[in-house]
Amino acid sequence: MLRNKILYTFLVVEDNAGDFMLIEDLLKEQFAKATITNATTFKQAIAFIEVIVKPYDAVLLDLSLPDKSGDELIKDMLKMADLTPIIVLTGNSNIDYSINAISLGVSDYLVKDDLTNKILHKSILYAINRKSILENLRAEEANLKKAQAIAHLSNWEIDLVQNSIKWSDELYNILEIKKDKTNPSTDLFFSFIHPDDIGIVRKDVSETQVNFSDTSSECRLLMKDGSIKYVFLQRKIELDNNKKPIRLYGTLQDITERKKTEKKQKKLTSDLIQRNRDLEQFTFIVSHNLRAPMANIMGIATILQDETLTTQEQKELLQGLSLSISGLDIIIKDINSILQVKDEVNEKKEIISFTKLVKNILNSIRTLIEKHDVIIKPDFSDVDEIFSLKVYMHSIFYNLIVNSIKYCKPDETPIIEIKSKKENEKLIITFKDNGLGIDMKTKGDKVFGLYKRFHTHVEGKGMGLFMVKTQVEALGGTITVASELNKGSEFTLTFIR
Amino acid sequence: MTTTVKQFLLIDDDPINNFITMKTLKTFFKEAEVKDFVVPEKGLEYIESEFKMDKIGEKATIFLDINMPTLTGWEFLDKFKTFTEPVKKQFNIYMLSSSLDPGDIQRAKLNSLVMDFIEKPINITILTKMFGVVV
Repeated sequence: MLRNKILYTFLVVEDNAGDFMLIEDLLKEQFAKATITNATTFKQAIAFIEVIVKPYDAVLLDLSLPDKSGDELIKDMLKMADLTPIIVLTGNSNIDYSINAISLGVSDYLVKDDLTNKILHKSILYAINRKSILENLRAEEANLKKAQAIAHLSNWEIDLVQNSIKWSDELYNILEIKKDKTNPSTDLFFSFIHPDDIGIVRKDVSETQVNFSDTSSECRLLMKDGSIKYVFLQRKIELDNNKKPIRLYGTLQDITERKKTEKKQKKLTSDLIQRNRDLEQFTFIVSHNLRAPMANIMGIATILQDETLTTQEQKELLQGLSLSISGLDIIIKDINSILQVKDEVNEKKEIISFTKLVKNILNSIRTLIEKHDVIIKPDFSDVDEIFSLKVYMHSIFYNLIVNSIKYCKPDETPIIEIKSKKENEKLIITFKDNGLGIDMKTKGDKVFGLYKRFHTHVEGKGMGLFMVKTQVEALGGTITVASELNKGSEFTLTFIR
Repeated sequence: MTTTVKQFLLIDDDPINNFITMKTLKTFFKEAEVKDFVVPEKGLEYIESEFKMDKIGEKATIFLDINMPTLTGWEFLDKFKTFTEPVKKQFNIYMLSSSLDPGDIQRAKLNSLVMDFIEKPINITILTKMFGVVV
């Protein structure tokens, strides 16, 4: 049935006219409606293959042509024919040679002398069937490749018996290396892993190799251009019947995009938490501080309605009113500066020299320093620079220095020691004074609180240390204090470099 | 009962508020003796020195602020608690604060030394509720 329905096309590459006629007859017997073309040279065969729109269903190839023969002919023909099946027809009945031809990729190897219409028919049908299987396989492979490329998900396997390794195309893509110029190996892969992550990956691999358990790891790849990729690795091991490992295989997925999104999400979350804290702070200010001058204004307004007030009383009340209104204004301005802090962090950071910074501040508060005879001892010999936001650094240094001077002991020369040092990834700055100090037992938890004041003899509104802490934290640092009453205070600032 | 002069102690670092409270009290009561302390420690000293004796008569009223720099209202109460019973029972203490913090209000209600939490500023209506109509 098949033979009548389908219009097969065959190319018979045969220089011997007699042989061609024989083959043509045999074909016609089985494929009555087939179109049979004869090429007498390799060159002519190639020309036919190149011009034909629908590929031949099979090429029947004689192995000794005037312009090419033997292995070379087979190889070059295969290259041109792609998936079109090639059936070799030859007078040579050497079995070794036929095996060789098959291994090169031809569909079949038939000896002319033994040729019958049945044998040829069977061979051609097998070849055509094989071609369609190959086509499906190729399409599936292409789909898999596309899917891997879309998901950035590659797979690999190590044959532990043959000691060979195979990577899917996507793995080469992820590593950004050319497949045809690369010899895949475990060492090569490990050369891409970020030095800090190699340990954990090795540990996971050996866990699978030794205990045969499935493992997965997340690690960073250090690319040739210095960029970082995040990958997720999963591995499994296959054992033979004797529980001997024979194959290690798994996947490698590029999760850089997901990581970036995660990072953004984290940043967003921490921003939101910060915003929420700001709002809490705002509520706190409203309930504790904004209310106080407001209450005064309300109280005074009520009393002012009393017509029996003396002129003196009226004057005092109006003064109180004016003071309360100023107080209200100051607090509103404070709220504004507190809530502005976080927006400013996104401004440009720059390299700041501690020496210059302190010099500038001391210049700006010269009168205060001379009035109290302050001795400032800066020591920035270990590290003199920080990459940060200048406005903040200035404000932090300024507030801490001025604070130390404000709360110095009246009978003692104030000494302020400012020191910076490196400690691994950290940069630590300390401010130490010999001032009044703070009783840490009772006031320790309130040192950095807003509008917290512990001394009443000097002017202040309890904003300085609160702002210092807010700004240090906005720069990603931390601040702590150690203090003893009548001995002095030491503030320690820690920044990650 | 002999009419005794009402006594008030104002403990608040804010002089303006003290002035308002004093003025309102003096309007409400024909005769009221009001003392104000902007430094709470001085207030404690005054209580210790002036109220040693178990006086017969009406209790004195303390209006106590919460947020003060050297000693908070709560710390003031802690110190007050250490006084002898005869001293303590001569006082009714009211927290008088501008705070809107529910935590502060709750804390005032839970403290056995505190009669009530009063929101600043004090006015005639509040005093009427506290002391009734003065004839």
